[in-house]
Amino acid sequence: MAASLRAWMIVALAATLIAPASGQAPAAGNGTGSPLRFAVIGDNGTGKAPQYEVGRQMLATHATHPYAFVLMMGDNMYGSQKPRDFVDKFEIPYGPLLRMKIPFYAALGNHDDPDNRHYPHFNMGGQRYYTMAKGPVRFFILDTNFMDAPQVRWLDAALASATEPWKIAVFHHPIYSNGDRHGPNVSLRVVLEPILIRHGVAVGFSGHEHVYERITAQKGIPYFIVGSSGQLRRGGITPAANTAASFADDQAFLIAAIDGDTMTFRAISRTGAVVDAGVIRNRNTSEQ
Amino acid sequence: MPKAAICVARPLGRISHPRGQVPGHGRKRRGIRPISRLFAGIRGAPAALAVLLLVGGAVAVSAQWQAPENLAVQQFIQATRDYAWLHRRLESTLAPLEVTSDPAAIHRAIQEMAAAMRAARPDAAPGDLFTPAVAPELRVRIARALVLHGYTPADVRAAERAEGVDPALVPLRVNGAFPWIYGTAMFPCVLQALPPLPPELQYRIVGDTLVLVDVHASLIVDLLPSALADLTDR
Repeated sequence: MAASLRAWMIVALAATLIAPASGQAPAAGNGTGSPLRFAVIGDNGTGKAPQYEVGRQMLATHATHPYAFVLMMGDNMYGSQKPRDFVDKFEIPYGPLLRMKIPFYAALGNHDDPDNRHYPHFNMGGQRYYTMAKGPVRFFILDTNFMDAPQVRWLDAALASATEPWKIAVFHHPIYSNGDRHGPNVSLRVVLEPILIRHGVAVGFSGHEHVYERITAQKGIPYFIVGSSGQLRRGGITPAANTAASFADDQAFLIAAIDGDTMTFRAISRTGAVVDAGVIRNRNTSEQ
Repeated sequence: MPKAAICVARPLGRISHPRGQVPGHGRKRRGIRPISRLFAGIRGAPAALAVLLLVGGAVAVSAQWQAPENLAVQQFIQATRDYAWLHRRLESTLAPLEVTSDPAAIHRAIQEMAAAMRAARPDAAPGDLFTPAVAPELRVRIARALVLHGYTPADVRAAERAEGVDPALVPLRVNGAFPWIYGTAMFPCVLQALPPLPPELQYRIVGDTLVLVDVHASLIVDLLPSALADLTDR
């Protein structure tokens, strides 16, 4: 009962923080004072009805919570990746958002042809790993299919030179997960985690496991798994002590807003239900 | 030196991970004890001896792992560089693959690149780069990397099975297109142990086969069968 009440209070708090003023859509955020809002999807590229329905829900959400861009956690396309598939598995389901000039930024998943980095709507600039800044946030988008030494060195250097108060890592394979299918990628964690900690990364976003899960801060870093925006492994998670929240009953995506030293977030199901919400403080700025 | 690796293969292979999950890309493995508990029931000198043997073995493996590249490996690295040089030379004769809003153009450019590489290497065959000289070294490196990080070949196979694709259904052949449908990703620890590659090339493991892929042409460059050897079987 107490836990349920606490969960509702968190949802209410997050709704207050993230919601726009009544009757007025706020700016999506450009780093000039207003919150930076963005959406997160993962493992979405099925081309099937649920992906399309999530796309419609993302559009409806944008009307009330206008996010500036969308992060893609990888597996942006499953199966065939011929020209027609770019239309069926990406351009149609997210067509209204694309026509509103909302950019998508993709990470490569293990089902993605690496040459998709040349597809302009994925905004990868022809690179399999890259960084981009949005207002107070710098995102580091990795290719965890092939975490070779040059990429590790690049990440270390790029994080070291970043001056933004928020550093967010985006990569397909989760280094913490309680999903039943894959579990955590411990081999990747060994390589990645020390670098993320050393450079003060505030949040990690992943996909791969076809569920939604939020992991409590691990050595200071909270992690999100958003891997059910197209694919879904219904019930495919066994929550553990480090599970802050999980949802595997339906497809889901996430929206987040960064304002000052806080990031508010809400995970939204295919049908529009808020299945998780909360606030995360930037451990770098809040410690100062 | 290989003997030391054999000694530690099994104990290290039983290292547990959070909630009994197989690390890396693997599925959960229930009922495995954390390494600290491996010694829970052992007391006194036997325990100390076991720890010393394990640590000594691990150090020996690590020392071997970081040894200078032998001649066969150096030749392999040079062969990948030669391949990359050929790739770049041919690429310069084709229309550049640029970021374009036309996926068909991307697809066409990749196909043209693959066709050019096939034309330049019409007789390419398994073993051209993964030569008989370097093949055993690569197999041992993969096996050692897995052992050193508490994995077994079964973990790698389990990761593949989790993707739901049966390698037997999609044949692999040199100069053929690499099927990304496999959804394979490399264990970082294995990647660290293998020789570095130029940007045009990446490794993948499909079934028990190590595949060298030209990722700018989605082309299979070479195949190393039985790459997932178990050190304890050797």
